[in-house]
Amino acid sequence: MSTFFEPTIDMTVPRVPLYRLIDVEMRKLIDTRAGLWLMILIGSVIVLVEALLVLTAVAYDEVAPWSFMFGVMATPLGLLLAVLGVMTVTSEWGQRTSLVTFALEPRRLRVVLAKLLAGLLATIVLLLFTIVFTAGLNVGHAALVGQSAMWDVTRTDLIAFGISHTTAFLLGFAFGMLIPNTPTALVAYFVFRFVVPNLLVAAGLIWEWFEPVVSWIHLEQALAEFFDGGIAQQETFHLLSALGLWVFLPLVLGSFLLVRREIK
Amino acid sequence: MIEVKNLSKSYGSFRAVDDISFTCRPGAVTGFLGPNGAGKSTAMRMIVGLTPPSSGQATIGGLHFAHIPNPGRHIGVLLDASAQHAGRTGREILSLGATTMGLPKSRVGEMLELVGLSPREAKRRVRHYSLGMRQRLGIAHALLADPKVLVLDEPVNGLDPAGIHWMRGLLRHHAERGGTVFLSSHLLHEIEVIADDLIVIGNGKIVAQGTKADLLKGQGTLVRTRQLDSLRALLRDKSLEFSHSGADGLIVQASPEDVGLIAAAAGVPLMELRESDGNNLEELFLTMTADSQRGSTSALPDGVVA
Repeated sequence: MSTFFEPTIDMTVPRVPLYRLIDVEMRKLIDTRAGLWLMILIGSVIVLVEALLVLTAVAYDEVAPWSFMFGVMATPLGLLLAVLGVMTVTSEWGQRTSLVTFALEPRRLRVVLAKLLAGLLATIVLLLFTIVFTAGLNVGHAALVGQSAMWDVTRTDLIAFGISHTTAFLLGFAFGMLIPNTPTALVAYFVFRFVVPNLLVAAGLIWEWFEPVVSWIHLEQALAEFFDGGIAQQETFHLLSALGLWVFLPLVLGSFLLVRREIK
Repeated sequence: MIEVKNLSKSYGSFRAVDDISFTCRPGAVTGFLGPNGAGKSTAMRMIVGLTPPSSGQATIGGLHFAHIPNPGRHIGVLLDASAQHAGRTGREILSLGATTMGLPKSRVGEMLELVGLSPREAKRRVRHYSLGMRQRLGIAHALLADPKVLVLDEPVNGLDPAGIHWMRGLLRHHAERGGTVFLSSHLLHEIEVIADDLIVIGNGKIVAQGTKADLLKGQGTLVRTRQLDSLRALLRDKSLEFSHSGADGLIVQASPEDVGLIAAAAGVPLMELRESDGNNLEELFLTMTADSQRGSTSALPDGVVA
């Protein structure tokens, strides 16, 4: 502590490597009560919903197919991962910690990238947990009923499960980037999730010319058709277009605004 | 070490910071003094790259903050002690900073000890901290990497007199090691105790800057006598300027020695002879503070000008 300072900046100190930023962002996901409880909530929802499904099956002396266990998770897990996505970004603005974060790493987009990768890692862990946990339940409850387990989930199904839930996280993240306020971003996401799809379909019914447009911008429909259609070319373009509109565009726009924004 | 050149920031037609220029030299504590809303925080945010300037520039060691790799290793920043996640513990906040900068974990404990936060306090969430504890935590965060430059916005705010004394020792020691310290305050007496150099800002403009000794120097000699008329005549003969102070006093624009010699030579007995208390800075600052308290944006008086 008592060395004398040189009056110049030592440029040989390397910049902050990305892995350290990711490390920090992963810690931030769980080092507050809000973050920790969100993770606990997601874990509990997975465990409770699946347990309920399996117990019901056992009560009726039947075997619940593995695919049911994925189907029942689709909506709740998708919503929770989107909330995780929103909060990964917005928790930085709500308590003004960005004053500290960006004083330590002024290249703001690197912080965004670290948050994105940290959140994606958490998402992957949660998805793997769901797969392993349901597989265990599948074996266990089939044995309990005395029948053989139904392994009716194909590799494509697993990929679909992974992609659609990762998309849910990315959507939340993109909305959080564009709208730097947790409640507003969450509301915007719920509107997008529950109102926009119906509006698009309705608009397609009202204006005939709009109908073909819908398949290019209706994300859920595009996802469903992508997996049902055996991953054909046309469906791939529809999905990419919808992802571009709802994930890529808000992400890029939000990043553009963040770089220019005054951090207060 | 910190160089600010013609820096301005406008919000619409409002100029929060209006063409300010100054330098903070290594080995000194530079105080940034001004009433609330004078533009201190905006200027500091521009220096550390959080607020984009409308024009002008700020550099540290000749570099823009954003171009400095791992800036936390060189520049310790505390902009707002309350800008921390209330749900994190003090220790966790320091750990996150240490991880980002790539410092050994042992620094966290060392800094907690340095700023006087006990291990028990460090385990508590910042929500339960007093302002003084938050300031100490913020200082600990700024000092984590033992940086050569410190940029601290109102660091003394919320500290008790013992805390102010401690802060003064800490910053003085830092400057004596050749470090650069730039801190702001809205209280003249706070900064008077700590700073070597002063920059006074009001309504976004620098109204005075220089060493503390220069700025706080008395503006004349107070002399009291029963023979006021004789003394006035003597002073006029020497064409010295003076003003009245009370029934039997004058404030003369000359040194106490000169005034004493003049009076002695003419045999005028004096009752009091010393440097006057009032100084331009205090007067200027009081006027500025009064102005901002009234919410007025009227021009500053023609007092000391930089």
